Amino acid sequence: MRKYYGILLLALGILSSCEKVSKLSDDARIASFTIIDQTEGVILDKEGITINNNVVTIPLDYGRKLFPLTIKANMKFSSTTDDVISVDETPLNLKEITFNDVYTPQTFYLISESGVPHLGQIILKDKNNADITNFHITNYTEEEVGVTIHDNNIRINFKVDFDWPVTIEAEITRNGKVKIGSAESPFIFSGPNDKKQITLIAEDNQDERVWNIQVVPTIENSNFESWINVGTSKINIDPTPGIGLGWATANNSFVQGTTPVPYQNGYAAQLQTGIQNLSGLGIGELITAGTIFTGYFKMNISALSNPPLMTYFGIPFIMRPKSISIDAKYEAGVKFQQSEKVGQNSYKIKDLAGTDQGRIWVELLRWEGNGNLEYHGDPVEGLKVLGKGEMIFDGANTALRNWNNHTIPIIYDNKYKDLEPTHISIVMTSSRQGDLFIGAKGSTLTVDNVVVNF
Amino acid sequence: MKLIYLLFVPLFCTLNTVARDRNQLKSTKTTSADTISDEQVEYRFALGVQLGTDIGGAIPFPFSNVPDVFNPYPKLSPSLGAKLTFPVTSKWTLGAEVTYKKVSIDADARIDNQRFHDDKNNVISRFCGSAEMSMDFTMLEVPLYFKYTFKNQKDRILAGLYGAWIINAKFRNTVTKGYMMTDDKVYNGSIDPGNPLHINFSNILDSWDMGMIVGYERQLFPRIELGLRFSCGFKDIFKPSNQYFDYKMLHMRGTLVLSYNLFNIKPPKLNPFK
Repeated sequence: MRKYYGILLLALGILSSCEKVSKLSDDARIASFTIIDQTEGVILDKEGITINNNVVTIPLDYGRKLFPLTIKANMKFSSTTDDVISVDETPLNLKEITFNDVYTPQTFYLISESGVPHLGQIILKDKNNADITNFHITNYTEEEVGVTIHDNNIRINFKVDFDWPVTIEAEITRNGKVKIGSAESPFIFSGPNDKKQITLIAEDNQDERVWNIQVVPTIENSNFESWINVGTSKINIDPTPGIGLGWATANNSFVQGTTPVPYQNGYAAQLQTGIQNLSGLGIGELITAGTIFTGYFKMNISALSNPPLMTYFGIPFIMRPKSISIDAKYEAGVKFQQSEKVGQNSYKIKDLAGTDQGRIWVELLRWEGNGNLEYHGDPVEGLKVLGKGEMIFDGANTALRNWNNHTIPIIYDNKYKDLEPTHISIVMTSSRQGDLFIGAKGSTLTVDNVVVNF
Repeated sequence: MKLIYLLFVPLFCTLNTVARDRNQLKSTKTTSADTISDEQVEYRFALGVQLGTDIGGAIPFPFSNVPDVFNPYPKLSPSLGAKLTFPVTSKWTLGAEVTYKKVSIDADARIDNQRFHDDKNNVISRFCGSAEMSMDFTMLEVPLYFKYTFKNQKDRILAGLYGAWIINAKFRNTVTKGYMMTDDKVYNGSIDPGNPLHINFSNILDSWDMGMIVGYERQLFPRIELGLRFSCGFKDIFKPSNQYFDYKMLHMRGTLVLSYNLFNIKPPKLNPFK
């Protein structure tokens, strides 16, 4: 009897592998990085290359104006690294890496034996020899205008109304010499796309660095004119000036709840509630609200049934606005419903009494915690909400179905009156309780021209 | 489950009868065989009961879709049934069975680039990572087969078809680690190990199966046979309207079965093969 049972187990063993899944490593690391060849002219400090936490840092000595830079590299990974994949649709070639500028890193995922992805980066470390360290505007006060310096971009935000063209006079603190032909203060900006450039020449090695100066809205792309991947299932708002620094949506490969629609010779953002059928994944039918917010969205398959975990609210912002105003209209869907949890991880739709509501809310935040802010809307240790404002769009109010300009005042907490914000979070959703999978299919909040008022 | 024990009742009753018969046979020193005579075929039905266990589950087919790292952990459950055999010639026997069985298996696997395609809802994803699965099929299996008896009258091989009514089916996946990709293999988010993704395919499993069965049997004692079988389904375990993978998942299992012949029914003048 045992012999026969043994034969059965042997047959099963043919299908089985010797390697145990539980023994597979979750770790994946960059073990070494060596430059074999590179674009001529650019000087990299090859001896100064460091690898820390899967980030390869290559110090740049000279050659900013000689970009793009192509590096032929020999990159080795730990034995527990199963694969290395691209973060987006761009094919990954780690043997020949091209940098279009000093500021944009090469990003990829290292996959461990067990399948856990680890973010990896190759970054160029710029030399501080042609820097603008301060850009002080002298013809407007700090209450009227703000300045942010990021990479080689100087962005000027007006906190008060102004007309084009606008003149900016500034005192610039820098190291390096200004190259002849560079823009000089006063700078006259004719419109939002007018960009002034200052080229600084490093005194130690004569390397050049170009600085861009631009007058931009307080939060860029707040007129929702710029979108990416239009006409495809990957459509999304342009996150300019960078991911985590501007607007984002929760669009992903399963749901595209936020799309551009024509409005005023341009686009508005249309946020629409839908029902996503994930029965095949055993999750069931989920009410999914359209949303647009300041921050970034990070897809997490485990959080499909808990979408707020994928939305990272808040972008850097250091002013205290009085209100935000916005063009908006709202129409609720017909059938108000909820995806109700019926199992460990599965949902079933049931009808509810009432009408769906849209919502726009704004919070001025001060992050005093360690590392980067991670805020999903719930209280976080180290995060203070200095001020907030909210507007509910009640679907029962048919007057909201027409375009109107709405102003949402921001009420500040008196106990934080001396604190300056570090972030602003503006969130708009077509179903107020969308995070609880409550809403109505077809509920539509259309928004445009977000203005931060000071 | 308690009803299953009722199946044992006729077995115990018959054991008494058989024991009594044997004693009588010994005392009269007759040598009546329970096996089929090589010279003379006795056209009689044989009714028996059988007890067994199955190892297996649903396996990706073609086998190239079985993950490289795949660890099955079979769970043993008893199967109970009845069989009916009828000799056709001195070497060939026709057999039919009805067996109530439970086939369960847990497994974990390192899956690489598995495509998930939900046409109806326009969801296409690819998955890489570690997953645990749990399958549990309770079924009523009805095999119909021909059996060939070798010259030693003890060894037999069988081949045939089976149909099965899947009374209850569970197929749950827990994706513990890894990441998803879009259909064009662009990274599309990770699985948080602290918050694994539970996927329940139970509702989209089909309620029936059919396939082939092959096996080997050895007569241990005059009425007792031990068999080893392999069965393979022809159809996907999922309902035809719910095809999510680029491959089929077929029922495949090995069965160890111990059978006991209870009665020989010998209807007069019955020889349909003459």
